Parts: sequence; structure tokens; C-alpha cells
Amino acid sequence: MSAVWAAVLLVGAGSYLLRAAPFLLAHRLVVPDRMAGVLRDAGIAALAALLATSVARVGVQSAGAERAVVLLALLSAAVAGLAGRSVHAVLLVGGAVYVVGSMAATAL
Amino acid sequence: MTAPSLVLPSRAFLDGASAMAALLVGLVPFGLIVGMAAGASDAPVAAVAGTWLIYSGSAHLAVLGGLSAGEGLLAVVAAGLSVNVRLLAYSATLSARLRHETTRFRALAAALVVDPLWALVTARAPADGVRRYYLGAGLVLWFGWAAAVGTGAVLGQHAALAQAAAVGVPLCMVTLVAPHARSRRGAACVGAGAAVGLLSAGLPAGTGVLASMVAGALAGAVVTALVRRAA
Repeated sequence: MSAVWAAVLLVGAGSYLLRAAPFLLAHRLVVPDRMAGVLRDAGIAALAALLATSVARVGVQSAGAERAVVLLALLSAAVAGLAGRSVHAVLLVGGAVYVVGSMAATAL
Repeated sequence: MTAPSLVLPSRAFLDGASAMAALLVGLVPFGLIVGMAAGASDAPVAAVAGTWLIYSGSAHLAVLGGLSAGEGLLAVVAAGLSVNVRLLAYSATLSARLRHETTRFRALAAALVVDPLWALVTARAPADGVRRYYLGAGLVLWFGWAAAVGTGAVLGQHAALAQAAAVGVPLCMVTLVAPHARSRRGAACVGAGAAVGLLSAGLPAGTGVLASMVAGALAGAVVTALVRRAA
């Protein structure tokens, strides 16, 4: 067996165990509300960390007007999301700002 | 003669599928990039199989990157699992909402758990249609992600994809994170998670996310305590 197969199978099996353990024990274990809140907070923070590092990557990989346009698009999407808009609306706002901003940056 | 009955997907299923399909547009470039890395692997079939087996773009890339850098098997497996430890918190939250489903359904549902699904279900699934919303969103992401990675493996290297992913991935993440930041507690978790994520970016794969999860849980606990005291 190649190292790639071994790694994929081991990480895949471990990942499924991480995913499945709470699901398969759910009917036996009742997670207290307080613990459920802590897990939810931890999940939100994990997503925020992934978001922050992906935004930081934008700062490194792009420059000048391109970087400003991407950040403006992300900011617009964040405002729409914080306003409680739907998934479609948030993506549409961010995408539209990016397209219009890129066209403007190219024209200038 | 009776007309054959037509079984239509429920509203909740379609809502979940539709929300995830919109997100998928932004995630496709990332899937293509994961696919390009898989296609360039020494064992492309095994690397592409990771799409279903690992089912997490960041962990999949950590495994492929480690292998291509010549790291040992144990180090690669440890890195991949560290990146995916966050799934335990996601599953624990989601399983509470699907506690009354059958064991077979819960075993299937577990295989679909990943960041976008967790964020959508916890923030937007209707209380009376969690199962169907979950399946609609989860299946669209499962098949859509696999299609994107498979396409990337076939297409090979394209510089334009990196640019598309640079916009699409953070845009999807903003869409997923923003609804959770509407409460004071959620905003504190987002702030703490983002700050620790940035500060720990140079640490080994997965470590930063784990540190962020601890920081987010602490921030949530502090805000909850402050709100209780104020009340």
C-alpha cells in the first residue's frame, strides 16, 4: 500500500470517528445546555479562525487595488450577513461589489 | 386506475439545498485547487479518494502537502487529524438536534459534517425541518464538492483558479460566520477566534484552529457571565 493510500485511509477513518462519535452516542448522552453552548462557541471560533486566515492570505497574495476590491467585497458581505440577509443575498452583495469594483479598478 | 403519487422534496430540503448550492459557487475554486493538488500526487486515485474519505478541504490539503514535502506518515496523519478535530465540536452540536433520528440516519449524517453544513444548519435550519434541511444542504455539498475536486484533478494547474479561490473562499466564510456574530456572545467568539487564528497562523497545521476554539469558548463564557451579572 502506498503512503498516500495509508494516509488517506487513516485520516479518513479518524475523521469519521470524530464526526460519528457524538452522533452515535447522542441517544445515550444528554449534553447539558451549558456544554452545548460552549461547543457552539468553539465551532463559531473555528470558523472565524479559518475566515481570518483566508482574509490574511488575500492581503499577502494580492496587492493594491485588487486587494482593496476583495476586502471591500468581504466587508459588504459581512454587513449584509450581520443585517440578517439570506445566504443568497449575502453572496450576491459580496459578488456584485467584487465584480463592479474590479471593473472600476481596471478602468481607472 | 389511480395516478402514481409524486413525491416532492419538502420545502426545508429545498431551502437547505438552495442555500448550499449558492455557497458551492464560491467553494468550487477551492475544490478545484484541492483537485489539482490531488492530481499532482504520486498516487492520484488515492489522493482523489480523500475527497470522500477525509471530506474536508483544509485537512485534505494538509495531508497532500505533507506527503509531497516528504514528511513521514505519522506526521501527516497527525496534521490531518489535528485540522479535523474541530469536527468533533460541530458533530456534538448537530447530533443534539438529530438525537431522535434512527441510528442509520445518524451514521449517514455524521459523514456529511463539515464547516459549511454546520454553519448553515445551526444558523438557518427551521426548527420543524432540521432533518430535511440537513439532508438537502449536506447532499448538495457532498456531490458538488466531489465534482469540483474531481474536475480539478483532471484539469491540472490553472493560475486563474487561485485568484477565484482567493475571493470565493473568504466570501463563503463571511456568509457562514456573519449570522453567528449578530449576538454579543457570538461576536465575542468570532473576535476571539479570528484574533487567535491570526496570531497562531505560523503554528503546525490544525494547532491554530484548536487554540481559536479554546479562545472562542472562553470568550463566550466571559460574555455570558457578564450578561448574567448585569441582569
